[in-house]
Amino acid sequence: MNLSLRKIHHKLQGRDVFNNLNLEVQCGECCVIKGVSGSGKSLLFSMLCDIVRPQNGCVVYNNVCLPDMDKSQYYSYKKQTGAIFQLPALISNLTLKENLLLPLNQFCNDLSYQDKLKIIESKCEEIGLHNQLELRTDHLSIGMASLVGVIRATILQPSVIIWDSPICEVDCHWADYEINLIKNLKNSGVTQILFSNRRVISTLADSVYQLKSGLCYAA
Amino acid sequence: MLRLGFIPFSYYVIADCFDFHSHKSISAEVLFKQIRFTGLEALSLIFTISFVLSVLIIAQGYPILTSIGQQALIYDILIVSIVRDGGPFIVCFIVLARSGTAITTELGNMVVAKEMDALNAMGISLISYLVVPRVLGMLFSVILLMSYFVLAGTLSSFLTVSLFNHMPLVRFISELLNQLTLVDLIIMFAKVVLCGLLVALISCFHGLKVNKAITEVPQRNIKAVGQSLTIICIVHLVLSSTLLLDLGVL
Repeated sequence: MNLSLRKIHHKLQGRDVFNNLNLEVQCGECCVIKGVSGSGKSLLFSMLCDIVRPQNGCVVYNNVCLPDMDKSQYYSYKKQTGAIFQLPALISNLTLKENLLLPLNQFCNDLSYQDKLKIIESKCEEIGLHNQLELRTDHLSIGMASLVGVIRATILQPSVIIWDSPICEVDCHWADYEINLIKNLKNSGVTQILFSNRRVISTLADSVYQLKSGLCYAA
Repeated sequence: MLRLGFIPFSYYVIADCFDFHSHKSISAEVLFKQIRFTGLEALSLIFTISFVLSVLIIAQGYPILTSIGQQALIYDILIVSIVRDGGPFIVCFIVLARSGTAITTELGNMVVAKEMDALNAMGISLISYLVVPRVLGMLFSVILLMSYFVLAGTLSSFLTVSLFNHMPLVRFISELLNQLTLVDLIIMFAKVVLCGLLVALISCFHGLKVNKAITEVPQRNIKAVGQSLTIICIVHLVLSSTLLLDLGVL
């Protein structure tokens, strides 16, 4: 599963944020994208997750531009891509269990409710929240909520993970958990695009890029 | 958040309503929650308002009508005030005040908290998951609430009439049904269904129109309430006028 950005141009309030930006991430590659605040990291994250479409150029997944995909290709792209936000972005009026059921209900209609519940319980056991599945997520701390966000993005075992600011919202213990998770995903051949300025994250990468003046340079 | 105008947005939502079964695995839960909130939790409020309104109408009107020997007209008055005109207007107004504002606020806050982005990233359609169940929930709920309203109104009218003039319930109901026409019921359902649909669409539209700032949420709420109230008044005036024109009154 390769993901690339081709000739991306994007303006915000008259300012060029990206100017002919190109990037190619190969299957199984762990890529870190760095950049100072305001350089467009979060915007690029949103483009890779197809939350924002670039004004010019396109995001290419498995050699097909996202806007040109048919329904089944787009469905496969969404199923195979896990997005982890800097803010937890959990649905606040749902419980922890309901939040984690969302991707399973969307993509795994062949699984029974009990099977889905087992998956959720085993995933939540890793972060010690298996007894709090009925808790509404607005009652969780930011750190725990961001871990639930990580689980939500990885619960379908996607082949691409796009992660905005890993280890930012969690304490040292859970930062180690997230670093180990990145290592494990890398060993399993999952393609990862990590947006982070942390040195510890850069050391895990196969390639590091720097966003500067609307372009993406190899760092 | 939302780039569509109101007309194309409404078109997509209504088209998606007919495709509900294809995304019911994620939308059914939201639909049930909406029916519970709008239809069931408003039961006591609707019951109280309908009960008090009917008591006031009968208590004021029945002695006057009796004094001029026209007590049979009380059924016409009840039909106009509870079933055809007054009831639907009050029900729509309550639905707007309780659920319309709640929908705009909830969706607006979800945009600000990036929850919409998370749904987008998971490939979950905002219209299928957030809007369609709310619109369908509002439609079911207004019909349910209107039924409560008529039931409570009929019951309290009977109890109040019984204070002035003892009358068996069966006779009261049959006299009321004799005066009630199919047109009255069609007008009642048309009013609540149209208003329920439009209030839900307007509320969802303004909730999704919030961009980034939390301060946009109350602004959008004010717009949603203003537009919904105008629409409720227009729908009621148009449908009532149509009926009156049909009857040759206007």
